Amino acid sequence: MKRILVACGNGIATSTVVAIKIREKCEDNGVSVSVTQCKLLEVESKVDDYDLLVTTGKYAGGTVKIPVVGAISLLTGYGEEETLEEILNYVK
Amino acid sequence: MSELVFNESLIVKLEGLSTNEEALSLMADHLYDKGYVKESYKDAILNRESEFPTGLFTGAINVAIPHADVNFVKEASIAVGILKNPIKFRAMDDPDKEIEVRLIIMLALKEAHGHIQMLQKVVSLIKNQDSIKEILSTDDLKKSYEIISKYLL
Repeated sequence: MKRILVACGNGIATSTVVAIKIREKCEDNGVSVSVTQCKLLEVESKVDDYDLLVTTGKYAGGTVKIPVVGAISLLTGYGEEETLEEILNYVK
Repeated sequence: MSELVFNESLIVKLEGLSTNEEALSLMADHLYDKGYVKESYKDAILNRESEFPTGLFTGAINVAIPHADVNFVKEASIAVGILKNPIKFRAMDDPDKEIEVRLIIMLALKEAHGHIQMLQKVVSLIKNQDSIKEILSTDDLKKSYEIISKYLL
């Protein structure tokens, strides 16, 4: 099961919305994932335990070895489906 | 899981302001005056905005969703700021990009990964440009409240 880390500024608002949408998309497609939320500042210390990083804000920390997907589209609606498909492709 | 407080008295019409700091300060003061947030909430909002901006570029009318950590909040609530003239915010996904915002939805959240339904409702409002236009087109706060309530309550 792939592990997704969802990060935003405070780790409480936009990451919550994104986490839900990711879980729904994966469930609809029969893919098991674990989704964890955190603050952008915590990413560097946590990222090694995950397979995919999804952010709404800009991640400006060190380089990460896993794929990173920007998910602002899940808040504004523009390009939302494409972003969800991209995330799904990384974890299925 | 408790829901967020939102009512007509939490809609603020802002005009004659030039910076987002001014708008955010006014709205944070409003939440503080009503007893929903601690005194430290305002600084937390301003600090968060400067480090991790909350401007959302939606294409037509842009929205900002400022919020801070749960420990600054006494009672979960939402304040909505309607800007008469657009104010520059930086974009959440690209902090070097400035966008003009006319609607501010300030979130005072009490639970770290809660308020799921309310947050989803906020996002559904953000995505609906027609409703946002309607909210901004009227001077009647009661009308604005009705439109916003359709989405948030």
